[in-house]
Amino acid sequence: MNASKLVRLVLQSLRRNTRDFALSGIGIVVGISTLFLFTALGSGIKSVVLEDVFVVDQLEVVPQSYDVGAFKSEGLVGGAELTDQTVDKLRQIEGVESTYPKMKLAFPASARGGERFVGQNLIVELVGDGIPPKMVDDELEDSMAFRDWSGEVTCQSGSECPAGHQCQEGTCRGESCDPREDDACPDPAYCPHDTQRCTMPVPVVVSPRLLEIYNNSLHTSLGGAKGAISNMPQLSEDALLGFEVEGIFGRSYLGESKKGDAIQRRLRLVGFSERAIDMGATMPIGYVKRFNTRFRGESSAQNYHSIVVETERNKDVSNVAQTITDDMGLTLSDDYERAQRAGLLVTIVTLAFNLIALIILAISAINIMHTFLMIILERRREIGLMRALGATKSDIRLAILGESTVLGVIGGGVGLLVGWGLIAMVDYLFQTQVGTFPFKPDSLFAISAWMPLAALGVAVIFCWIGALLPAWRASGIDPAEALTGPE
Amino acid sequence: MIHISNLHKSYETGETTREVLTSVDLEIEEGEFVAIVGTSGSGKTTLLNIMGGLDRDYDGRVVVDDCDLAEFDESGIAELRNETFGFVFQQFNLLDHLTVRENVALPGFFTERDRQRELPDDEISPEELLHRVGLGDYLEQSPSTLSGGERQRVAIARALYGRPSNLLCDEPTGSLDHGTGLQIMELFQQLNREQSITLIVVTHEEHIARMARRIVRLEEGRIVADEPNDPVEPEASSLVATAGDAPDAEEETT
Repeated sequence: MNASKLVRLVLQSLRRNTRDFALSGIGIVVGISTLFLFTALGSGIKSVVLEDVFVVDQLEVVPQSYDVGAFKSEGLVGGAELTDQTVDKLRQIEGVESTYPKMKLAFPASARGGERFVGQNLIVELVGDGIPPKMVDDELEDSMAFRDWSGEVTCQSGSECPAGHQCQEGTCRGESCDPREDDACPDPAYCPHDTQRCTMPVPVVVSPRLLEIYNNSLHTSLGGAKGAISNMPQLSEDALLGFEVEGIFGRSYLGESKKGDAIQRRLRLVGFSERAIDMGATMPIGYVKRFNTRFRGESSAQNYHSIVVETERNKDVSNVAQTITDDMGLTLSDDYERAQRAGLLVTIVTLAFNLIALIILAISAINIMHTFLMIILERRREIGLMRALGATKSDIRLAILGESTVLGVIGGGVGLLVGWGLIAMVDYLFQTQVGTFPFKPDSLFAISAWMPLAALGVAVIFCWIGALLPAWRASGIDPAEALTGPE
Repeated sequence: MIHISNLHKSYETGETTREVLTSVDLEIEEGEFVAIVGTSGSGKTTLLNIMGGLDRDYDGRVVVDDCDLAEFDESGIAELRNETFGFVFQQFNLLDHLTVRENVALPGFFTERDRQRELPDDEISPEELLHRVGLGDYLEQSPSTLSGGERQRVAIARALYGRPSNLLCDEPTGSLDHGTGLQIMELFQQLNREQSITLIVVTHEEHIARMARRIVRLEEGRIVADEPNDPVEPEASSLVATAGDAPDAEEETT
């Protein structure tokens, strides 16, 4: 029997027993919707854990350190240094898309500001991290705002230079200014006392986590504080963009730098980035290099504190990680191991939930088997007739399996629709009923194209499993016996 | 042509073995109209089933059109049933979830040959067959709405769909009243006369058997008589019976 005849025969047969099939299909609908829901949920949570909490396609190479009692040490001779040569070597590993060297401020620094929000200036320790600007390009609305303005900004005309700068010999240079004048430089440039040249504020990005921690925890606890600080409002990203504080480099509450006199530079918040340091300010690495040279010496500007290695695909991560640790003798940050553990945990939980769905499907397969056995009992004479009219045993088996395929496709399809509905409902409740928290995703679920296809495939396979025995029995019906008995 | 020699068939029930057919020898030429007559349990239906390849568990030799049925594999015997034989049963065996037209076209699902390509001249549509048996107005009806005679004519149209050379009929009038049964037999006579189809009708009714041109009598699995018959020809019969004949007589006969 060819395919088109088989399809026609199956569709003819399905006209009957619609109710029986509908009842049998409920199990498939429940099983598939559950399977789809849990798979999408597991995938969604895993993507949050591995892409937001631990950025899994990024490995962070750090100098090797050892636990010595309550302290960490880089050993007697220090860990392997992370230099520009290391960056080049890492870039040459197969599967590596890009490398981003990072450097922390290596001297005391603090920040003063906040009058705009609380009526008086507050001073806090400044933890600063420097990164290449292109690392956050895709996350910032205005990627040009996060540039190393104090570095060498090339130009052909003055219009290409920032406010208060002129194009001289192909480079933007700050104009001379008098810091005592109120509007010595056009906004946003300002006039530092030490240089007396118009200077752009140091662009800074911060982690959205910092804002969440402030809004959800710090703001609450500060409400009970004495003085103006208790009046601090909750803040949004939009309200903070453009916010400026005074950075004091070389001096903080904890101490002063051994080398050089402290200087003040204005810091301007230009955006929020998942790649920014969690607790502190992230700025273009050029600023950090220059500050470190000034306050710590030349050598401190040549060694990076870490190098972020971004892979082309997630599946390259483990190979790249192995090359970095085994072949190059470098160390990866604890985040990588934690990401692996978290990913494994999410996978195990997802599999446990999927197992429940598969048990539901197995039960429905048994139900389908029972239904088909009953149907075949009812159709015994019909099957005998088909054999008499020329159907082979294989035709009968194909017809029964064809009916189960249709049941699987329809049951699976309805199951997917139900699953989608549940996903939409859960997401709606999650967004409207659950408050904000760190890493709260837009959706709990991540649906990939393969999921509905796989769910349909699973539905059909379980229907086949249910129909296999009945199909075999049906093909074994003796036509002479089936046709000669009473109706 | 059907050639049967030294056919034995027995059933085993527990430790006892019951012989249903014993040393049956029978030869049926093309175009014959044979009635196989016998009482209930005489083995006539079993003989018909073996001839049609429905029952393959026997001893002896059954040759159809020079081919020994024992040599056919599963698909070969299915093809033989589809193309060489048409079956008509006492219980009609129509599928009520299909229309009358779909019932007639049912054998077409299992034919391996491409009817459109290989048999353009012989093609008979289900509609035409139903017209021939007088049911051209009932194409889209369910068989369950028809009378017994009408249903049997649908079954005959179905049996003719593959243009078989042999019609094997097992008590085709057994569920019909006397008049309707005669009409069905008249239809068989017409098919045999006009289309030279070999007709083998199993029946326990003497008046039905007398409408065939040869009568084979079975008793306890043995052929006790095999003789030609001068068939009773219908009087002024409308060979193609009209629709709306005698009401369903199943209740009367069962």
